[in-house]
Amino acid sequence: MNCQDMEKWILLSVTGELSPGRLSRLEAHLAGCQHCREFRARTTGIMEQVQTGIPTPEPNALVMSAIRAEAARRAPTGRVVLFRRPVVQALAYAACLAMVVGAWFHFYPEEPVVHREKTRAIVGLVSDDVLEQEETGAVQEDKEALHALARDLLIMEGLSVDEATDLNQLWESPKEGEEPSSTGIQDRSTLGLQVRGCV
Amino acid sequence: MEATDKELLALYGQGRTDALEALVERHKRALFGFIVNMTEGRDDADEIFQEVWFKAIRKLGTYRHRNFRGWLVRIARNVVIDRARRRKPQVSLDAEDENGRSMNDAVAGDSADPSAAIEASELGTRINRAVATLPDEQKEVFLMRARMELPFKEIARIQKVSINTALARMQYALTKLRPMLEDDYAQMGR
Repeated sequence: MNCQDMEKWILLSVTGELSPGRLSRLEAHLAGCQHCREFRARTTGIMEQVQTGIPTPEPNALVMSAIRAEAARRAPTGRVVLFRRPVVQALAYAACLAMVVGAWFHFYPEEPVVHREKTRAIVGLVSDDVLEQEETGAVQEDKEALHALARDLLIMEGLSVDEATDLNQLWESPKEGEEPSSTGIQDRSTLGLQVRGCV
Repeated sequence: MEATDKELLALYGQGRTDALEALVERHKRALFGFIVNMTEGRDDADEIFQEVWFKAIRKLGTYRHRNFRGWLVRIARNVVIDRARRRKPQVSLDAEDENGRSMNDAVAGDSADPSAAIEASELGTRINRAVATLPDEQKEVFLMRARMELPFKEIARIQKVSINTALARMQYALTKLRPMLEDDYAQMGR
C-alpha cells in the first residue's frame, strides 16, 4: 500500500467507513509516515474551516412558510399504505383478489356448479326439440322454468333483476303458424351485455 | 433523545406535519449551504431549496430509508443540474448587484459581532472562491462531504461512481484547495 491509498483510508476513517482491520493497518502506517500524518491534519483543518468558516445562510422566510404549507397540504391522513411502488401495488392487489376469489370457490363450491347446470339446462331448453315441444303444447311448467332460468343467466351476466326480466320477455313463444324463434338464450345474453355497454 | 429522520418520517406518515417541519429545520442550513455553493452565487438558491422540499414531500412514498440527507442531496443535485442546463450564463460569485454587494458578501451573511463578521466574511469569501475553482464533480464531492457530512458510500451512490472514484475526487479537491487556504490554515495554528 502506498501513501495515495493510505490517504483514501484516512478519508474513510474520518467518516467511520473503514473496517477495524484496515484502521489498525492505517494507524501502523501513520506512526511511521510524516506525509500521511500531515495529510490527515490538513484534511481535518480544511473540513473545520469549511464547517466553521463559511457563515451558513438561511433560506428566505417566505420559502420556509411555503414548504410548511406544502407539508401540511400533502400530509398523509394516517392511512396505512401496504405497498408503495405502483407495480408492486398492482401485483399485490391482484394477488389479494385472486386469493379472495379462490377462497370463495373453495368454501362455496356449489355456486359455480349450480350456474353451470343452469346454463346447460337453458342451452338444452332452447334447442329445437324443446321449441317443438312448446309449439305442440308442451308442459307449461317447462316454459316457466325456462324463463326463470333465462332470467337467472342474465342476472349472472350482470343485469339487474328488472333488466333481466324485461329482456326475458323479448323472447316469446312462437305464435301459431310462425317459425320457431331463432333467438336463443345466448343471443339474448349478448343482447343484455350490449344493453349494458359491455360488448 | 432526539427522534431520528426515520422516526420523523414515520410520524409524518401518520399525519403529523410538525414531524416534517422538524426534518426541514434539521437539514435546512446544511442543505441550503450546499445549494448556495453549488449554484455559485446564482440568485435562485431559495427557489431551488423550495423545489427540493416540494419534490421530497411529493416523493416521500418512493424514499427507501437509507440516508435521508443523501436523498435530499440527490434531489438538490438534479434540480441544480436541470436549472443550470436551462439557464446560462451563470452569475459569478464576485459579480456585484446594484448595491455593490457580491454573492460572496450575501453568503457570508450578518453577525452580531462586526469584527467577527468581517473575519468570517473574509474567510467565507476565500473558501467560497477556492471551492468555486474546483471542477464540478470534485466540487460536488467536496461539498457533499464538508457541507452535508455524507459518507463516501452515499456520495459514490449519488454520483453513480465507485467509492474509489469518489475518494480520488476528494483527494484532488483537497490537493487544489490546500495551497489556496494555506494562510488560513497557518493562522489556525496548525
